[in-house]
Amino acid sequence: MAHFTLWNIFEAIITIIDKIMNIKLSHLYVILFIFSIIAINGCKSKKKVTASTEPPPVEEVKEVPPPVVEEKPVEKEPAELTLEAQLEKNFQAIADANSVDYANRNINETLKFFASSDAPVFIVFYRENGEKDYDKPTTIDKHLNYLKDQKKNPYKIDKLIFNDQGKIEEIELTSR
Amino acid sequence: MKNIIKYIIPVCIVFSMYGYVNAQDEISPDRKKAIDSLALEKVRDLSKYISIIGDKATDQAEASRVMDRAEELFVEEAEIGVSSLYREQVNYYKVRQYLMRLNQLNYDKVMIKWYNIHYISDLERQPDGKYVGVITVYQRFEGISDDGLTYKDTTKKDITIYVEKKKTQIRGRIIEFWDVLLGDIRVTETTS
Repeated sequence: MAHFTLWNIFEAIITIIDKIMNIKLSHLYVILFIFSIIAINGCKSKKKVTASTEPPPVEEVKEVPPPVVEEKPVEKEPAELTLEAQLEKNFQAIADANSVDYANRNINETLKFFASSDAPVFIVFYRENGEKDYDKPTTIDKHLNYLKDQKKNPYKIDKLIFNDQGKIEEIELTSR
Repeated sequence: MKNIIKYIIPVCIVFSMYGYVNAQDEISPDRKKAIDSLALEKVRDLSKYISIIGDKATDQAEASRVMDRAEELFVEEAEIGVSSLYREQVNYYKVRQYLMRLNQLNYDKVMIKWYNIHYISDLERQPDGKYVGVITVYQRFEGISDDGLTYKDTTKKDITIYVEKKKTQIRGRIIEFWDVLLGDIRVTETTS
Protein backbone atom coordinates (compact mmCIF):
# COMPACT_ATOMS: atom_id res chain seq x y z
CA MET A 1 0.00 0.00 0.00
CA ALA A 2 2.79 2.41 1.05
CA HIS A 3 4.84 1.49 -2.02
CA PHE A 4 1.87 2.01 -4.32
CA THR A 5 1.40 5.53 -2.94
CA LEU A 6 5.07 6.36 -3.31
CA TRP A 7 4.97 5.16 -6.92
CA ASN A 8 2.02 7.45 -7.58
CA ILE A 9 3.98 10.36 -6.14
CA PHE A 10 6.93 9.39 -8.31
CA GLU A 11 4.74 9.38 -11.44
CA ALA A 12 3.20 12.72 -10.52
CA ILE A 13 6.63 14.29 -10.09
CA ILE A 14 7.72 12.92 -13.48
CA THR A 15 4.68 14.54 -15.09
CA ILE A 16 5.43 17.89 -13.47
CA ILE A 17 9.06 17.71 -14.55
CA ASP A 18 7.97 16.90 -18.12
CA LYS A 19 6.08 20.18 -18.13
CA ILE A 20 9.04 22.01 -16.60
CA MET A 21 11.28 20.67 -19.35
CA ASN A 22 9.30 22.73 -21.85
CA ILE A 23 10.46 25.98 -20.25
CA LYS A 24 13.87 27.58 -20.83
CA LEU A 25 16.93 25.91 -19.27
CA SER A 26 17.82 29.11 -17.34
CA HIS A 27 14.38 29.05 -15.70
CA LEU A 28 14.92 25.40 -14.84
CA TYR A 29 18.14 26.32 -12.94
CA VAL A 30 16.18 28.87 -10.88
CA ILE A 31 13.56 26.24 -10.00
CA LEU A 32 16.28 23.72 -9.06
CA PHE A 33 17.97 26.34 -6.86
CA ILE A 34 14.71 27.01 -4.97
CA PHE A 35 14.10 23.28 -4.64
CA SER A 36 17.62 22.76 -3.20
CA ILE A 37 16.99 25.42 -0.53
CA ILE A 38 13.74 23.67 0.46
CA ALA A 39 15.46 20.28 0.53
CA ILE A 40 18.31 21.55 2.76
CA ASN A 41 15.79 23.02 5.22
CA GLY A 42 13.91 19.71 5.20
CA CYS A 43 17.08 17.81 6.10
CA LYS A 44 17.76 20.16 9.02
CA SER A 45 14.24 19.60 10.38
CA LYS A 46 14.64 15.86 10.11
CA LYS A 47 17.95 15.98 12.01
CA LYS A 48 16.19 17.75 14.85
CA VAL A 49 13.55 15.04 14.96
CA THR A 50 16.15 12.28 15.11
CA ALA A 51 18.28 13.97 17.73
CA SER A 52 15.44 14.70 20.09
CA THR A 53 14.19 11.06 19.90
CA GLU A 54 10.67 12.39 20.13
CA PRO A 55 8.13 9.53 19.89
CA PRO A 56 6.03 9.34 16.74
CA PRO A 57 2.62 10.93 16.80
CA VAL A 58 -0.09 8.31 16.92
CA GLU A 59 -2.00 7.87 13.70
CA GLU A 60 -5.02 10.07 13.23
CA VAL A 61 -4.40 11.71 16.58
CA LYS A 62 -4.01 15.42 16.69
CA GLU A 63 -2.09 17.08 19.46
CA VAL A 64 -3.16 15.31 22.62
CA PRO A 65 -3.78 17.91 25.30
CA PRO A 66 -1.88 17.43 28.53
CA PRO A 67 -4.00 16.00 31.33
CA VAL A 68 -6.37 18.72 32.47
CA VAL A 69 -6.98 18.78 36.17
CA GLU A 70 -10.55 19.91 36.56
CA GLU A 71 -10.42 20.23 40.28
CA LYS A 72 -8.08 22.30 42.34
CA PRO A 73 -4.53 20.91 42.10
CA VAL A 74 -3.55 18.67 44.96
CA GLU A 75 -1.43 20.62 47.34
CA LYS A 76 0.79 18.67 49.65
CA GLU A 77 -0.87 19.74 52.85
CA PRO A 78 -0.14 17.64 55.93
CA ALA A 79 -3.64 16.08 55.97
CA GLU A 80 -3.31 14.97 52.35
CA LEU A 81 0.19 13.66 52.90
CA THR A 82 -1.28 11.53 55.66
CA LEU A 83 -3.96 10.25 53.34
CA GLU A 84 -1.34 9.41 50.72
CA ALA A 85 0.72 7.58 53.31
CA GLN A 86 -2.40 5.78 54.53
CA LEU A 87 -3.22 4.70 50.99
CA GLU A 88 0.33 3.44 50.41
CA LYS A 89 0.04 1.49 53.65
CA ASN A 90 -3.30 -0.01 52.62
CA PHE A 91 -1.98 -0.98 49.17
CA GLN A 92 0.94 -2.78 50.77
CA ALA A 93 -1.33 -4.49 53.33
CA ILE A 94 -3.53 -5.80 50.51
CA ALA A 95 -0.53 -7.12 48.61
CA ASP A 96 0.90 -8.74 51.74
CA ALA A 97 -2.42 -10.17 53.01
CA ASN A 98 -2.25 -13.77 54.16
CA SER A 99 -5.88 -14.47 53.40
CA VAL A 100 -8.43 -13.38 50.84
CA ASP A 101 -10.79 -12.24 53.62
CA TYR A 102 -8.18 -9.98 55.17
CA ALA A 103 -7.31 -8.55 51.75
CA ASN A 104 -10.99 -7.97 50.98
CA ARG A 105 -11.52 -6.13 54.26
CA ASN A 106 -8.59 -3.87 53.40
CA ILE A 107 -9.97 -3.34 49.91
CA ASN A 108 -13.34 -2.25 51.31
CA GLU A 109 -11.63 0.11 53.76
CA THR A 110 -9.50 1.61 51.01
CA LEU A 111 -12.44 2.09 48.65
CA LYS A 112 -13.99 4.45 51.25
CA PHE A 113 -11.35 7.03 50.32
CA PHE A 114 -12.58 7.06 46.73
CA ALA A 115 -15.56 8.76 45.13
CA SER A 116 -16.45 5.49 43.43
CA SER A 117 -15.08 2.00 42.99
CA ASP A 118 -14.80 2.92 39.30
CA ALA A 119 -12.46 5.83 39.97
CA PRO A 120 -9.85 5.72 37.21
CA VAL A 121 -6.31 4.58 37.91
CA PHE A 122 -3.57 5.67 35.52
CA ILE A 123 -0.30 3.80 35.63
CA VAL A 124 2.84 5.42 34.24
CA PHE A 125 5.36 2.76 33.28
CA TYR A 126 7.88 4.97 31.48
CA ARG A 127 8.81 8.63 31.09
CA GLU A 128 10.84 10.23 28.33
CA ASN A 129 11.46 13.94 27.73
CA GLY A 130 8.62 14.81 30.07
CA GLU A 131 6.19 12.55 28.21
CA LYS A 132 4.48 9.79 30.18
CA ASP A 133 3.79 6.33 28.79
CA TYR A 134 0.66 4.83 30.32
CA ASP A 135 -0.46 1.25 30.75
CA LYS A 136 -4.12 0.60 29.94
CA PRO A 137 -6.20 2.63 32.43
CA THR A 138 -8.00 0.60 35.06
CA THR A 139 -10.31 1.30 38.00
CA ILE A 140 -9.47 1.45 41.68
CA ASP A 141 -11.56 -1.64 42.41
CA LYS A 142 -9.71 -3.66 39.78
CA HIS A 143 -6.36 -2.27 40.87
CA LEU A 144 -6.89 -3.20 44.53
CA ASN A 145 -7.91 -6.70 43.51
CA TYR A 146 -4.82 -6.81 41.30
CA LEU A 147 -2.66 -6.15 44.37
CA LYS A 148 -4.48 -8.95 46.18
CA ASP A 149 -4.23 -11.47 43.32
CA GLN A 150 -0.66 -10.75 42.33
CA LYS A 151 0.58 -10.29 45.90
CA LYS A 152 2.77 -7.42 44.78
CA ASN A 153 2.63 -3.64 44.94
CA PRO A 154 4.92 -2.45 42.16
CA TYR A 155 3.67 1.16 41.99
CA LYS A 156 3.75 4.24 44.16
CA ILE A 157 1.26 7.09 44.23
CA ASP A 158 2.18 9.98 41.98
CA LYS A 159 -0.94 12.10 41.93
CA LEU A 160 -4.35 12.24 43.59
CA ILE A 161 -7.30 14.28 42.39
CA PHE A 162 -10.13 14.99 44.80
CA ASN A 163 -13.75 15.99 44.34
CA ASP A 164 -15.54 18.66 46.33
CA GLN A 165 -16.42 16.15 49.04
CA GLY A 166 -12.74 15.34 49.57
CA LYS A 167 -13.02 11.89 47.99
CA ILE A 168 -10.42 10.71 45.50
CA GLU A 169 -11.76 10.90 41.95
CA GLU A 170 -8.62 9.88 40.15
CA ILE A 171 -5.24 8.42 41.01
CA GLU A 172 -2.00 8.25 39.07
CA LEU A 173 0.59 5.63 39.95
CA THR A 174 4.14 5.20 38.75
CA SER A 175 6.61 2.34 38.76
CA ARG A 176 8.83 2.19 41.83
CA MET B 1 21.15 16.21 -19.02
CA LYS B 2 17.45 17.06 -18.83
CA ASN B 3 16.54 13.37 -18.82
CA ILE B 4 18.90 12.67 -15.92
CA ILE B 5 17.42 15.53 -13.87
CA LYS B 6 13.94 14.31 -14.77
CA TYR B 7 14.54 11.02 -12.99
CA ILE B 8 16.97 11.99 -10.20
CA ILE B 9 14.69 14.62 -8.63
CA PRO B 10 11.66 12.37 -8.07
CA VAL B 11 13.89 9.56 -6.80
CA CYS B 12 15.40 11.93 -4.22
CA ILE B 13 11.98 13.22 -3.14
CA VAL B 14 10.50 9.73 -2.79
CA PHE B 15 13.49 8.46 -0.77
CA SER B 16 13.35 11.53 1.50
CA MET B 17 9.65 10.92 2.19
CA TYR B 18 10.24 7.23 2.89
CA GLY B 19 13.02 8.06 5.34
CA TYR B 20 10.89 10.70 7.04
CA VAL B 21 7.98 8.26 7.50
CA ASN B 22 10.33 5.62 8.95
CA ALA B 23 11.89 8.13 11.35
CA GLN B 24 8.42 9.02 12.64
CA ASP B 25 7.67 5.35 13.37
CA GLU B 26 10.72 4.69 15.50
CA ILE B 27 10.62 4.55 19.28
CA SER B 28 13.69 4.97 21.42
CA PRO B 29 15.52 1.85 22.69
CA ASP B 30 14.71 2.76 26.30
CA ARG B 31 10.99 3.12 25.57
CA LYS B 32 11.08 -0.19 23.67
CA LYS B 33 12.73 -1.82 26.68
CA ALA B 34 10.02 -0.47 28.97
CA ILE B 35 7.31 -1.84 26.66
CA ASP B 36 9.10 -5.22 26.53
CA SER B 37 9.06 -5.32 30.33
CA LEU B 38 5.40 -4.33 30.46
CA ALA B 39 4.49 -7.25 28.17
CA LEU B 40 6.56 -9.69 30.24
CA GLU B 41 4.75 -8.44 33.33
CA LYS B 42 1.37 -9.17 31.71
CA VAL B 43 2.48 -12.77 31.13
CA ARG B 44 3.61 -13.05 34.75
CA ASP B 45 0.21 -11.67 35.81
CA LEU B 46 -1.51 -14.35 33.71
CA SER B 47 0.68 -16.98 35.33
CA LYS B 48 -0.58 -15.93 38.76
CA TYR B 49 -4.20 -15.83 37.60
CA ILE B 50 -3.93 -19.35 36.18
CA SER B 51 -2.47 -20.57 39.41
CA ILE B 52 -5.36 -19.01 41.41
CA ILE B 53 -8.04 -20.38 39.04
CA GLY B 54 -6.53 -23.88 39.14
CA ASP B 55 -6.14 -23.89 42.91
CA LYS B 56 -8.91 -26.00 44.51
CA ALA B 57 -8.78 -23.78 47.60
CA THR B 58 -9.98 -20.77 45.62
CA ASP B 59 -13.53 -19.70 46.36
CA GLN B 60 -15.80 -19.95 43.30
CA ALA B 61 -16.75 -16.25 43.31
CA GLU B 62 -13.08 -15.29 43.49
CA ALA B 63 -12.23 -17.75 40.71
CA SER B 64 -14.90 -16.24 38.51
CA ARG B 65 -13.63 -12.71 39.13
CA VAL B 66 -10.06 -13.77 38.41
CA MET B 67 -11.23 -15.44 35.19
CA ASP B 68 -12.62 -12.06 34.11
CA ARG B 69 -9.28 -10.40 34.83
CA ALA B 70 -7.36 -13.14 33.03
CA GLU B 71 -9.66 -12.96 30.01
CA GLU B 72 -9.08 -9.20 29.75
CA LEU B 73 -5.40 -9.88 29.09
CA PHE B 74 -6.19 -11.53 25.73
CA VAL B 75 -7.25 -10.42 22.29
CA GLU B 76 -10.71 -11.60 21.30
CA GLU B 77 -10.92 -15.10 19.92
CA ALA B 78 -7.51 -16.08 21.30
CA GLU B 79 -7.00 -19.79 21.92
CA ILE B 80 -5.00 -21.74 24.47
CA GLY B 81 -3.52 -25.17 23.78
CA VAL B 82 -3.89 -28.13 26.15
CA SER B 83 -1.63 -31.14 25.87
CA SER B 84 -1.20 -34.41 27.76
CA LEU B 85 1.49 -37.03 28.12
CA TYR B 86 -1.17 -39.58 27.16
CA ARG B 87 -1.96 -38.20 23.71
CA GLU B 88 -0.07 -36.64 20.83
CA GLN B 89 -2.76 -34.17 19.86
CA VAL B 90 -2.93 -30.68 21.33
CA ASN B 91 -6.47 -29.42 21.87
CA TYR B 92 -7.22 -25.71 21.57
CA TYR B 93 -9.89 -23.84 23.51
CA LYS B 94 -11.14 -20.27 23.64
CA VAL B 95 -9.69 -18.46 26.65
CA ARG B 96 -12.82 -18.49 28.82
CA GLN B 97 -13.46 -22.14 28.00
CA TYR B 98 -9.86 -23.00 28.90
CA LEU B 99 -10.09 -21.15 32.22
CA MET B 100 -13.37 -22.84 33.15
CA ARG B 101 -11.95 -26.28 32.34
CA LEU B 102 -8.90 -25.45 34.42
CA ASN B 103 -11.13 -24.44 37.32
CA GLN B 104 -13.09 -27.68 37.10
CA LEU B 105 -10.20 -30.13 36.71
CA ASN B 106 -10.95 -33.44 38.34
CA TYR B 107 -8.15 -33.36 40.92
CA ASP B 108 -8.20 -32.79 44.64
CA LYS B 109 -5.18 -30.59 44.48
CA VAL B 110 -3.71 -28.68 41.54
CA MET B 111 -0.42 -26.84 41.43
CA ILE B 112 0.59 -24.80 38.39
CA LYS B 113 3.79 -22.86 38.10
CA TRP B 114 5.16 -20.89 35.17
CA TYR B 115 8.89 -20.24 34.97
CA ASN B 116 11.68 -19.24 32.57
CA ILE B 117 9.47 -16.60 30.97
CA HIS B 118 11.39 -14.93 28.15
CA TYR B 119 11.15 -13.51 24.64
CA ILE B 120 11.97 -15.84 21.77
CA SER B 121 10.95 -13.25 19.20
CA ASP B 122 11.38 -9.56 19.98
CA LEU B 123 8.53 -7.14 19.57
CA GLU B 124 8.72 -5.91 15.97
CA ARG B 125 6.68 -3.15 14.40
CA GLN B 126 4.25 -4.40 11.76
CA PRO B 127 3.00 -2.40 8.74
CA ASP B 128 -0.29 -1.74 10.58
CA GLY B 129 1.60 -0.05 13.44
CA LYS B 130 1.16 -2.84 15.98
CA TYR B 131 4.15 -4.48 17.64
CA VAL B 132 4.15 -8.26 17.63
CA GLY B 133 6.46 -10.63 19.50
CA VAL B 134 6.53 -14.08 21.05
CA ILE B 135 7.21 -14.96 24.68
CA THR B 136 7.98 -18.53 25.73
CA VAL B 137 7.08 -19.95 29.13
CA TYR B 138 7.48 -23.31 30.80
CA GLN B 139 4.58 -24.63 32.84
CA ARG B 140 4.92 -27.23 35.55
CA PHE B 141 1.55 -28.86 36.23
CA GLU B 142 0.83 -31.20 39.10
CA GLY B 143 -2.60 -32.67 39.82
CA ILE B 144 -3.27 -35.02 42.72
CA SER B 145 -6.53 -36.97 42.80
CA ASP B 146 -8.32 -38.15 45.96
CA ASP B 147 -7.01 -41.71 45.51
CA GLY B 148 -3.48 -40.37 45.69
CA LEU B 149 -2.67 -40.63 41.98
CA THR B 150 -0.56 -37.83 40.65
CA TYR B 151 -0.30 -36.48 37.13
CA LYS B 152 2.71 -34.28 36.39
CA ASP B 153 3.94 -32.69 33.20
CA THR B 154 6.00 -29.80 31.94
CA THR B 155 4.88 -27.93 28.85
CA LYS B 156 6.64 -25.32 26.80
CA LYS B 157 4.25 -22.69 25.53
CA ASP B 158 4.65 -19.86 23.02
CA ILE B 159 2.51 -16.79 23.62
CA THR B 160 2.00 -14.22 20.87
CA ILE B 161 2.13 -10.66 22.18
CA TYR B 162 0.42 -7.68 20.56
CA VAL B 163 1.28 -4.14 21.59
CA GLU B 164 -0.51 -1.13 20.20
CA LYS B 165 -0.73 2.54 21.11
CA LYS B 166 -4.36 3.47 21.64
CA LYS B 167 -6.31 6.35 23.06
CA THR B 168 -9.36 6.52 25.26
CA GLN B 169 -11.46 9.25 26.77
CA ILE B 170 -11.82 9.26 30.55
CA ARG B 171 -13.59 12.01 32.48
CA GLY B 172 -13.56 14.26 29.45
CA ARG B 173 -9.93 13.98 28.53
CA ILE B 174 -8.08 11.86 26.05
CA ILE B 175 -5.48 9.47 27.38
CA GLU B 176 -3.00 7.70 25.16
CA PHE B 177 -1.82 4.34 26.43
CA TRP B 178 0.05 1.23 25.36
CA ASP B 179 -2.33 -1.69 25.08
CA VAL B 180 -0.56 -5.00 25.63
CA LEU B 181 -2.64 -8.03 24.73
CA LEU B 182 -1.87 -11.72 24.59
CA GLY B 183 -2.77 -13.82 21.58
CA ASP B 184 -2.85 -17.59 21.12
CA ILE B 185 -0.90 -19.80 23.50
CA ARG B 186 0.58 -22.67 21.51
CA VAL B 187 1.97 -25.78 23.17
CA THR B 188 5.30 -26.64 21.56
CA GLU B 189 6.59 -29.37 23.87
CA THR B 190 5.22 -31.69 26.57
CA THR B 191 7.48 -33.74 28.82
CA SER B 192 7.10 -35.60 32.11
